[in-house]
Amino acid sequence: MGVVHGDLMTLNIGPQHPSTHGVLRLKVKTDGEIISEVEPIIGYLHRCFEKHCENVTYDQVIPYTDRCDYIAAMNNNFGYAVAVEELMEIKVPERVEYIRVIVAELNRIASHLLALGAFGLDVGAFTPFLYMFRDRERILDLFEVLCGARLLYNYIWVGGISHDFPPNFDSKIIEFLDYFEPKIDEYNNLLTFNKIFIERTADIGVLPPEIAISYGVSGPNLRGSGVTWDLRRDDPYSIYDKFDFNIVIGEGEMGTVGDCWDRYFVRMIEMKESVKIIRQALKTLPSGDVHQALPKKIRPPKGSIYKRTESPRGDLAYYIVSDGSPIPYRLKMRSPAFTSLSVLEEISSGWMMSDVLAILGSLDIVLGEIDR
Amino acid sequence: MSDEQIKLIEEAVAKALTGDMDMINNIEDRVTRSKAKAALVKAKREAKKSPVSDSENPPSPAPSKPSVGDEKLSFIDDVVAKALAGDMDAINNIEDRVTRSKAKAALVKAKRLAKSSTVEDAPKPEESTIEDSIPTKKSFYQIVAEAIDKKFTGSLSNNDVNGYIQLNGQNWFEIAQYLRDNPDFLFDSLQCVTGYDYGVEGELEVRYNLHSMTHNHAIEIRIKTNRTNPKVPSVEQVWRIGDWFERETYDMYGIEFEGHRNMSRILLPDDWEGWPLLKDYETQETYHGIVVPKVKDGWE
Repeated sequence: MGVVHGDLMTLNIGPQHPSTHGVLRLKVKTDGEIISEVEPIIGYLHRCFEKHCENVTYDQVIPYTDRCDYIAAMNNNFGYAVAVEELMEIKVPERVEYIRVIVAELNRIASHLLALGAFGLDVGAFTPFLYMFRDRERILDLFEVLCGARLLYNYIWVGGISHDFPPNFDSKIIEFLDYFEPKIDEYNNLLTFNKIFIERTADIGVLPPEIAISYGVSGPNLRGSGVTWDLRRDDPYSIYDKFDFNIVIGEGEMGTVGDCWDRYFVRMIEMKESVKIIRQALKTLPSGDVHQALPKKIRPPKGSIYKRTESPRGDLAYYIVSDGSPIPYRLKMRSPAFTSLSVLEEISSGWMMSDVLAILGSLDIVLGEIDR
Repeated sequence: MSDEQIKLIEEAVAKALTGDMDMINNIEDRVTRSKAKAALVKAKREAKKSPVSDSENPPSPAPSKPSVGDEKLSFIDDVVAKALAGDMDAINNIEDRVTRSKAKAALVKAKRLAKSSTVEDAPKPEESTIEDSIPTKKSFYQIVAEAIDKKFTGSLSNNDVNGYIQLNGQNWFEIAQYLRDNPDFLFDSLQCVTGYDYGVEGELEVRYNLHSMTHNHAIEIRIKTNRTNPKVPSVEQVWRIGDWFERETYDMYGIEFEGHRNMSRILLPDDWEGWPLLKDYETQETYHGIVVPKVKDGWE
């Protein structure tokens, strides 16, 4: 018996749809329930980030970077600051480096919590989402104490940070970590090893490592495919080389290496590693003035730089060209979610309609960063 | 970690280095297994590093090349002394490419020596690693450039490779394939494609940042194109991410990538006019009857 092919039906998901994680439109061609083609259509959130950057000074760019990946704004600030500092050859004080790593890792946990919760929501598990948001809220509260903002921090500046830790802030972070670490087991009981969840995600949307690399996929998505690649270890920036942590990779525990479940589980374990890094950093946090290296005028010398950092979504890079003036001549942001989304077309054809939403959720995209 | 585990990891790594990966893969405890794998990667990298840095050491000339005559050496010394005094023309005017690059390497070395002696009282381990990597990187650029020049003669538009390789666009698709597949380079990842505008009168440029997952090295390639009819060969079929990156560059600069299978705008609407990131871009008056605001009254 041959397979009967009917006419292809074109279906629009989005731009306004709860499962698209923002304003994303998917043009889907289906053959019955089976997907034959998916075309992501992006740009609904385009805010001319790069054009704006050519018209504002270097320090004024930082709030714009917040608004690119608004889930992990600290990491975006971090990447930009590191790039400009390398261009200007600024050495920031030790304490600043430690504080940066601590807040960046806290933000990584917050970002992963949102990603995991929303992924559960995509495959029909509503409750874990609320549990994860409850804990993410605590991190946002910490950030609010630290710099007054809950989402868009403008905290990490070129050459320093905006505020030092308030009194007793270290103990507040430790209190949170002590509270949070056992919660990971709770999530595992609730969602990770739930039979229905495994059925929905294991063996679905397998992303082989060669394809992932060819598509420039990075971060937890690439590690989910079994590639040990983490810029914090492989191209260390700031002081990441001082800390001891593991690089988590997908091992196909529930199905095939590189399936949705692996990408999910990598994020789950990565939160534990982040906790480990924060604990180490808090233990050896030096004292000092955090505003000491802030430059009065940011005028990088002529030249260009391509600097990569590890954001929660993958390799976040800034390509900055300076002509010696206080305004960037050209600033390009290489966003990890952009490359992750481009692989969707490749790995989702042949799956069912509901699986495509699971695959999309497992890629953890943020549209603010894709459209810039 | 217990002594037993450490012993197990050491044994497994030693076996894996001889090619037998089974022992590592059979470790039951997940944490120990990943630790063993991390140790293996480290061991492999260290093994790789040492021969590379030896061969790139400037004083030891490669066996295939004729050794540098004393005459040349003293000439280089002279030039370096001049450059240190601020006269870079002396170096840049050397006609022979090999001698020039050697002189530059010597200059970097001399500068480094001068620097390290001034900051002797505060030895910083991080800085020294950064400085070490600079000469390595430079010579690596030269190796790549020479390999490209050998295989695709006439495709380099500038022999002076300092931080990037300037190509003229000829055979770019084939060069890209060569860079991806050659076992010495294995640039399997296209990290970033950046459009660049040299100014209202100037040319346009596309910059590619390549990276190799296997060798962990990176390189930047630049290709210039003219402003009136900008065209660059597409590498979309070499690295799949080139598809979206090139569409984005086209969207912002109007640079057409020849051979791209779907050359259309990606972030802006299809019927948008002009190329926004060009330095002489002017916003259109209206878009579908909506006035595009230009004077930002009430801003700032």
